[in-house]
Amino acid sequence: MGSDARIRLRMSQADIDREFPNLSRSAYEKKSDEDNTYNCFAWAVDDGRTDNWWSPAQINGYYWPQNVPRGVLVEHFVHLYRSECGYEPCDNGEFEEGFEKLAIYVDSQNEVSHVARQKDRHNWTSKLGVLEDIDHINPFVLEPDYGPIRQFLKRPVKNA
Amino acid sequence: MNYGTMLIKDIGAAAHAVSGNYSKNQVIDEIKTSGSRYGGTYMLRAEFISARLFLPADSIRTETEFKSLAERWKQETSKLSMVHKMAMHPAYQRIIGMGPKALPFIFRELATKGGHWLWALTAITGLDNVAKPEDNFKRATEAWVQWGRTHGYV
Repeated sequence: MGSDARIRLRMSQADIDREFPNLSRSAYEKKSDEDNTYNCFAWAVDDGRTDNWWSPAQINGYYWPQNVPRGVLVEHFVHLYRSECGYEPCDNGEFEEGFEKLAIYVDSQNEVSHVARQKDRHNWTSKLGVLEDIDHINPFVLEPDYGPIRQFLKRPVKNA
Repeated sequence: MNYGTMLIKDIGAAAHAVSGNYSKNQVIDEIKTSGSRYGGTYMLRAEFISARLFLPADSIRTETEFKSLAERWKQETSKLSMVHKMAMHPAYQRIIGMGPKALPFIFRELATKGGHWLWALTAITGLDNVAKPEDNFKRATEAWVQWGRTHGYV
């Protein structure tokens, strides 16, 4: 790794530390470089979509399915993930064999602020805004920064 | 002929700042033909440097203000995923409020670093068809950079 890359990685870690002061380093692992071309809503889909920035904003260049009402509330995102990926609401984020889960966070205005995806029994994954992808030990470690989880969703694992 | 050097990172923006005895196109021609570029430094005839010094303040102020606002916006929105939250940030709104003066700097950012400038560009130019509805974020960004190039901003 060249010195430039090392500097970039250190700066990137510093960015996460600065932006997520409540996120203990022992609770997450950085898994990618910064990328401002896709977001957590895309990353939550399948094994992590990185080909677009999903947003209900009506600006060309942002993706939102035509058959899903545009909006920033939990109900809009439940509709989004049901329509696009077959997720249904569920009660909790506990690991269930044969299922994969999403966690939808809301901010103080009750608008969706973040979505995290369960990877396996021990890990969740999140794309942090325009910053990096991380694995984190549970969905709740991001609540101090993104607000409370308002809804969990689940669907059967493909080929399960 | 008396030559001097002047640091120019953006020909369009520099030329935009010059007024008085020279038109924007005259200054662009002068910059493009006046000599070699060394890491952003051009050789210019002294009279053009004087011309720029005569009225550079507006452009320099605009660039300084843009950089300050853009840096603040990036730092304070980097963990957000909702575009409307990013665009409603006061610093981003002030950049939109700068109007066309901000375009050279927005396009420079877009061409070199990418980023979420589609909202601001749509708001400032009033154009909502530069990028197509089917474009993903990367293609939309490329479409805007091409538009900026065509219109002399890049």
